[in-house]
Amino acid sequence: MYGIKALMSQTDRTTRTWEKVSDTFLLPRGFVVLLLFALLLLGGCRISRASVTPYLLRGDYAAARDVVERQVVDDRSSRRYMLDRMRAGVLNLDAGDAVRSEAWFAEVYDVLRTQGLNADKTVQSIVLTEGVKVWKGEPFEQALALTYYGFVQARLGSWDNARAAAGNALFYLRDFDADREREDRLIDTEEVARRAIEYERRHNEGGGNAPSGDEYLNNGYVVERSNYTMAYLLHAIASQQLDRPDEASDYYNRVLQLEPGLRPVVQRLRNGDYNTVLVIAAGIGPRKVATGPDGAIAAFRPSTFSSIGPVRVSEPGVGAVMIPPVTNVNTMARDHRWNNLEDIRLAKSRLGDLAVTGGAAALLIGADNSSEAAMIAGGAAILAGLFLKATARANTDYADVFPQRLYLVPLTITRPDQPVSIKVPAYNGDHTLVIDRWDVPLGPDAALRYVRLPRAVTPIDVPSRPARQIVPGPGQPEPDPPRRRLLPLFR
Amino acid sequence: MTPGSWHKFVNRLSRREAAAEHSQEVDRTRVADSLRPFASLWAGLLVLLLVGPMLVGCKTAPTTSRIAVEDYQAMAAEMSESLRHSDAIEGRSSASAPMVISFEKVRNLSSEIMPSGEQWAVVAMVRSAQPIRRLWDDKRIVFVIPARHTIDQRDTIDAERADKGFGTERAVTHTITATFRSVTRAQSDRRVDVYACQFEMIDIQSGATVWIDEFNFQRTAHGDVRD
Repeated sequence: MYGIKALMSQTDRTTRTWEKVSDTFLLPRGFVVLLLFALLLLGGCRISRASVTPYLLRGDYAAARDVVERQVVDDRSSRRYMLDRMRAGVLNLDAGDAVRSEAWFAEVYDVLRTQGLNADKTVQSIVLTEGVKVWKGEPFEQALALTYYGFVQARLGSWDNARAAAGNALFYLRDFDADREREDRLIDTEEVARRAIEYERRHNEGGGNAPSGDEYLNNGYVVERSNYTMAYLLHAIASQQLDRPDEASDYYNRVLQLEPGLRPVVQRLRNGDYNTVLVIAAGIGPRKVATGPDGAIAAFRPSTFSSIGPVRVSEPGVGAVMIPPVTNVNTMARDHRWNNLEDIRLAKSRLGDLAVTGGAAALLIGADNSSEAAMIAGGAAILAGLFLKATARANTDYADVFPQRLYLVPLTITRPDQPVSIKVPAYNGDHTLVIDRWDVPLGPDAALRYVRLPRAVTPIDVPSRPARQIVPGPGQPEPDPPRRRLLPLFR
Repeated sequence: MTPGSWHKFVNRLSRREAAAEHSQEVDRTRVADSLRPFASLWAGLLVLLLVGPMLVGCKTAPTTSRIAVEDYQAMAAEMSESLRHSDAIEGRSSASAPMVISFEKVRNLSSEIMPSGEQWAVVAMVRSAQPIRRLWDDKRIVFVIPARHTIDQRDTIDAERADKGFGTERAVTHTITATFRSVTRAQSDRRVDVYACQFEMIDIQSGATVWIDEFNFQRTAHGDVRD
């Protein structure tokens, strides 16, 4: 009888325990629903936008540009402000409209040159998600955007700005941590800079040499250390165009150190045996994905696989030359990934696992011992763990319009209808692109022409716009007036 | 078993059960006590996760080391003073023959990208600065946009509204060229750009440089360079 009583008492206690569990979590139930909703929202912090890859593959760059320009937001605090502009800038150049591209890149540059944009969002980005920050891109995306701005400036005849853009592209790929060991370099900035500028002015005026001891003072400039060959090459060409032979030579040397296979190209450029620089873009740049536990690790995966396959360029009277790619964006993405929050995201994921496991154990112990405090602790730990795991996911916003590789070919164009054949077998097989509409440079400055190769196997009409200071080829369309004006200069 | 011994047995069993219940209660209390800090910790963490970011999100102003409007204004004032005390201009008065100085295109050797439109905006800013404009009253000196640029502008989208002859009959006596240079020093959280703007005035008739000066200014930006 007493055994039955004890059994009934035990059953009663168990029932009461589950009632307590039920009662304990009745109050926070609404809270849990809200939390789950918040987690869903956080997961949706990634920018949603239409993919333009199909347009790029078939060479319909104007259509891709139109799609992207329709999505552009003007709110400078919006996460997509710069991403939209970067995409629009690249696609306008792909479509052959350097003037419109310049307007977009001017705004991109303004954002890139602004520091501490996300300084007040550091804590939120750690605790919540990176999606709360204004998107500025990975270092390699920033460098590529600046390189494209350099192409645009060169296309418009401003080699001085192309030089500045290439210099900035190298700047954003610098290892700033290494500079921490050289604190003294910043302390005496003004004096060093003043002397460097003084030297450069005297040097330009045919004055003497400055005393050695600092690279700036030796040269009036510094060759930034990076492995971004295209920026070095663009800087070298721009310096050459600006009649700065020593600087150009130093940058050409750096190109050869990085890519000895470019020796024939550099040799021709050094000799000045060109009046047109043809930049060829091919493929689709790598895509950003979230991998690892809870997607905490951001990685770039190739869309177009890397290849050292050269471009074959045929000029009448000159013959065919094979030129290797100058830049492989897949490699850049691997080398210049900015993983400053990756450790934090991984820690959040692991802490989340721990909290969920510990919380579940505490919940069971609490239920078994009829301890309300233990159950609350367990429930809170599970929620906190789920929150940590959900917010550990890496943000995968990226500029999806960059090419996978870039080639650079020096040419001598003497006739507006001079046919030049381009073929990249490693990318689009037997397809040959023939460009027979050129802008012949009038003055001493070289012109820059940019083309993006489609994956198509049918002939396409490569867009072309006459640049400033150069003669339009016959039958070329007049450039459209820019749809957008530059924003006010100093905001 | 006698009724007395049965009674003792039941009493002993009841006491043992009561003791067991008491022991379980003590255990429960002990578990609850041991888990209380754990509960407080996780509850606190949860609150921190949700509320913390809103509290800590204090606003700090983004900065840039690009050239700013006030730099150009200061430069224009210094330039005006430098011109007033130059040999070429010091002897001039309001009664002198007009000196028309055409601002040629800026040569940008700095690390700063200055698109063509921006370069002309800088020229316009310097031209229209009060100290520069006062040079007309005191010294009969006026700064103008070069005719070539005016013609370029005329050929753009507002061509039909522009005065076709504007700027072509100006009797320019001197030209000014501007060269921008800069040096950058940076760490991951700080960037310093020192700019040097050199102006050189050339007498068109003689081809001689009649005035040259340089104006320096420094801009520092704080915050992560890449973020």
